[in-house]
Amino acid sequence: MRDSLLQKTCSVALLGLLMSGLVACDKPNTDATESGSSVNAVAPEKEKEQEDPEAKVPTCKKVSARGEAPRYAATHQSEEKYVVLGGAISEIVASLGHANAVVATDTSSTYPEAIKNKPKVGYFRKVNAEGLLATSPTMLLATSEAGPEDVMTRIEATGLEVKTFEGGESVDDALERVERVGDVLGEEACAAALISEMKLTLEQVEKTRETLSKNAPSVLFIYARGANLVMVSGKDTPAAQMLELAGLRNAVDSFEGFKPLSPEVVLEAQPDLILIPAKGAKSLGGDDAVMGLKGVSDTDAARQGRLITIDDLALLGFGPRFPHALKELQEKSQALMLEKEKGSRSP
Amino acid sequence: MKNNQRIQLAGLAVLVPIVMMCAFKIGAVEISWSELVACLTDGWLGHSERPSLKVIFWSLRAPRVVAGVLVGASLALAGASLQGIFRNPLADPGLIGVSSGAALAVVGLIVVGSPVLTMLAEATNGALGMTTLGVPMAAFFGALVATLCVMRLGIRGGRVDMATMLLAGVAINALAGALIGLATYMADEKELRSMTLWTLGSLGALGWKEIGIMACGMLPGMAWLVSRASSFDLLSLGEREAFHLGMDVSRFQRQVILACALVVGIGVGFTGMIGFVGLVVPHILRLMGGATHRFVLWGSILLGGSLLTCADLLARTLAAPTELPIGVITALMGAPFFLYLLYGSRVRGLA
Repeated sequence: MRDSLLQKTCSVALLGLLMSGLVACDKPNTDATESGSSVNAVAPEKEKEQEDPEAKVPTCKKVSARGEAPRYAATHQSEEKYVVLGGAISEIVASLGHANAVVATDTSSTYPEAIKNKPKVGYFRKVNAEGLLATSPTMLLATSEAGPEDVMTRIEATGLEVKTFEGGESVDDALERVERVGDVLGEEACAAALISEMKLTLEQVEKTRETLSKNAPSVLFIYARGANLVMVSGKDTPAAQMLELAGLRNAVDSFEGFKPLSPEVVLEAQPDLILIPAKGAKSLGGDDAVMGLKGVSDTDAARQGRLITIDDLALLGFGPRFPHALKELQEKSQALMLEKEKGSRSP
Repeated sequence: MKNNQRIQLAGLAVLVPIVMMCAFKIGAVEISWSELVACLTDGWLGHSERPSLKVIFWSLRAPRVVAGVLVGASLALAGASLQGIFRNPLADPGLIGVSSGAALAVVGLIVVGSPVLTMLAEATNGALGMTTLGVPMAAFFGALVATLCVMRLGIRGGRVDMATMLLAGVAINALAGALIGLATYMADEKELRSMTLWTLGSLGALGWKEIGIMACGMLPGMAWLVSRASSFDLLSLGEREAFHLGMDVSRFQRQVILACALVVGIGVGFTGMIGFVGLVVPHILRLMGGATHRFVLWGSILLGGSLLTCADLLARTLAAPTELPIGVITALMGAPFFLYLLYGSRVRGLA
């Protein structure tokens, strides 16, 4: 009796282990055939370009509408297949018209739609090396923060060409990043056009900053990933940096970095405006939920609905859209502050 | 050892190479059987036009598989040993402070110690970097210090009081948890991310150098534990009985705890926290073939190794090209099976 039970459990154990291995068997095969077919699709293009190298004319065609963040058409069909790690980098690649040469990105690459829908090889700080290589790229474009370090060196050891870009969070860093990605893509002219567009927007932002900063409204920046992770930005964060560039005052500067939201700190700060990235607001369950957060709900800003939401990556990524995000931030702040003044005068 | 235990051990010993071959073969990058043979024998890749395949295999996939076997074996063996000396079915490496001590040291290092490490890396020209050695070393010493604390607190009048030691373990775990919470509060966003990634556990960052370091620490510890199988059996009669049969019980218990801290601490440092293997594997074996320690200890090594390799295989293929946290897989695979065993044996009145 006892022996038969033992045999049964033993065989179940073996079966279970083996089956779980077999289940995993099917998946990679399909991936491989897909990537195989895309190799064939690219090949004819290569030949065409070799025949007639002079056909490449570096003229830059802007394809985005007025007022939108600038986007350009590619001046040549890319021969490379890129894996891109880091939201800012992938956004630059897309802005220069090379989104279709991207075979995979990381989970922080969420804009534009063409980039968002690419296969994901994990978060850029914890890259899955084999998964990345399985998408058979010919070049890896990565932020310098991509890792883990050992994994990156081993990816390089497989012979894959790796280009890294500094991940700094300042105006100069952001502009230089565009230039460097442009160089790698062979889109120097478009990159230069994009940079001058960004600079133009930044000049406008600077003008508004001067008028704004005379009576700068204070802004509370909230970072949220679900109701259990609600943080407030103090000093020295990308968010604080953006507020400063826009000419707005960070409502909380008693600490560095992000700290869990303390209702008392919020009440004491009495911000004029509340700023939250769009995905954060969504994770809490919409704008009303943001206004209903403990502490926040008792501020005048919340009672009178002075909330600003802006796309996460545009606001915090220091990618090609950051000047636009600054402008949007300024415009929304000015509109809301105007409403506030009207409101306080009328009764 | 009884005959059926021998057969089961032989079965498990066959399972390990089968699982390893599966794990070698399957992955995000497709490798055919002939290519696999060529990779393994270091032969010419024939008609294959993928010269990078060998690099992918040897620098990415093979280390994970070998690390899976090694870490799985060490976790399960430590679990079995600790359950043996505590004579408590719920004992696992987490209980004597190994995991929390290691976690605290790593978190502390990430938040406070990174300037020190950067200096060290610069002084040695990058030979002693943060990721290569800093984190694992911190984890190992954290594990050791926490375990020594628990042990000191558990010794009363020269002998180890197991109940006190278990409670001390609970207290040290709580304290470490609180300090980790404090460090989390102080950490900036970047540090926070490195911390959560580490606590999720993964075999993905391991290379041959790390495996070499791990093996140097783990294999002697494991060999020693297995060699003392008869002492474990003696102790399972009861502490007093073992003492009267001429055994230095306290000394043995202390040695086992230190060996476990060594074996698990090194692993935790390199892979992050991987739960459940240490708890569930020895139970599966006892339910399979009985509680003789020679069987349970050897079986833990074999089954633990296969289980973790399997779990890693699933972790890296199910969601390819990304990767799931391996701890999630071990729990998802282990828990239902464990419950099935438990329930099955209770129905038949064995538990």
